[in-house]
Amino acid sequence: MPSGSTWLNRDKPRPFALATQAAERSLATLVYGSTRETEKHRGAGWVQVRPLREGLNRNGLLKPTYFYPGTLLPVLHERLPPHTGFLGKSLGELRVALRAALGIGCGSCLNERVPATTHRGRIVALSAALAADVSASFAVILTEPGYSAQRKYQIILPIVTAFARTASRHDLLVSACGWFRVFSSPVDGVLLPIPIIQSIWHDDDIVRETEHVLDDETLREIDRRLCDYFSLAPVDAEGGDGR
Amino acid sequence: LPGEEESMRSPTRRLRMPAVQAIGLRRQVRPKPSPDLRVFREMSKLSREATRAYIDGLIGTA
Repeated sequence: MPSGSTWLNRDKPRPFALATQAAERSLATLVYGSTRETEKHRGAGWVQVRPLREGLNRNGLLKPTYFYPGTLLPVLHERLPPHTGFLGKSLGELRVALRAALGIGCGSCLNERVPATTHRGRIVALSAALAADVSASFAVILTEPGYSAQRKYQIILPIVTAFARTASRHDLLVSACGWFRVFSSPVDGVLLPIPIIQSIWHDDDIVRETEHVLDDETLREIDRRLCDYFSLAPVDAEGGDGR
Repeated sequence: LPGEEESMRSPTRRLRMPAVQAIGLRRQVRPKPSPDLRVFREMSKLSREATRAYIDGLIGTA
């Protein structure tokens, strides 16, 4: 299933667009779509796509739709409903907006160029329910700085401490960093599995914002892997923003 | 003043305090979630399921 495929949510005008290639036995990451402008007004990145019912680029949309790449949902391939079309020419716009929503090249909230109210790179403690579901007590916020300060939908990457192996080339293994002090007991290494990047609602699932922030080197490596995973324009060799 | 003290001790005055506190509690009730947030919460269940499946692969139980 190619990226840019679109789905309607149970025939309601709230569709989703696929942001990754999807194959059997793999995860597919969906971008949330809505006819509402609520998150646009809150400063979230967006792409508006108009219905196109004919031709190769028919998208199956019923109404003009905002896709919000700051709201990401990984799902199992076999859970995808029958798709209704493709984004066509809008796929390029979606990728640019996704790159911005992920804050690629923005560094962390400790960057002196961003306001102190931002959260990118900060490690947060997850609610007990979410922690049990994702087998991780902590996650790192990856939302771009501006929208992260709104404390609405946050893009997170769970920090996995209990693992036996890596599942794919998208799993980033990290060892011996200062921010490991966030854990109550010593940890030799953690895994940051890019395919389980997802959005949560800040007030639902974040119980505490810790004092710990990912180091710049790890964040740059996450950025590189995000670009690879979502087929985005790569970060340049110096670690800056390659747009 | 004696009259005011009596007023403070009156049953009516004592009954007012819980009412004021109740109003305060009502103001703390979370606003109704938007339709988008309701759909998102529903879809999040699929994300949790997908995440669990992926983590099981990392742990070696899948």
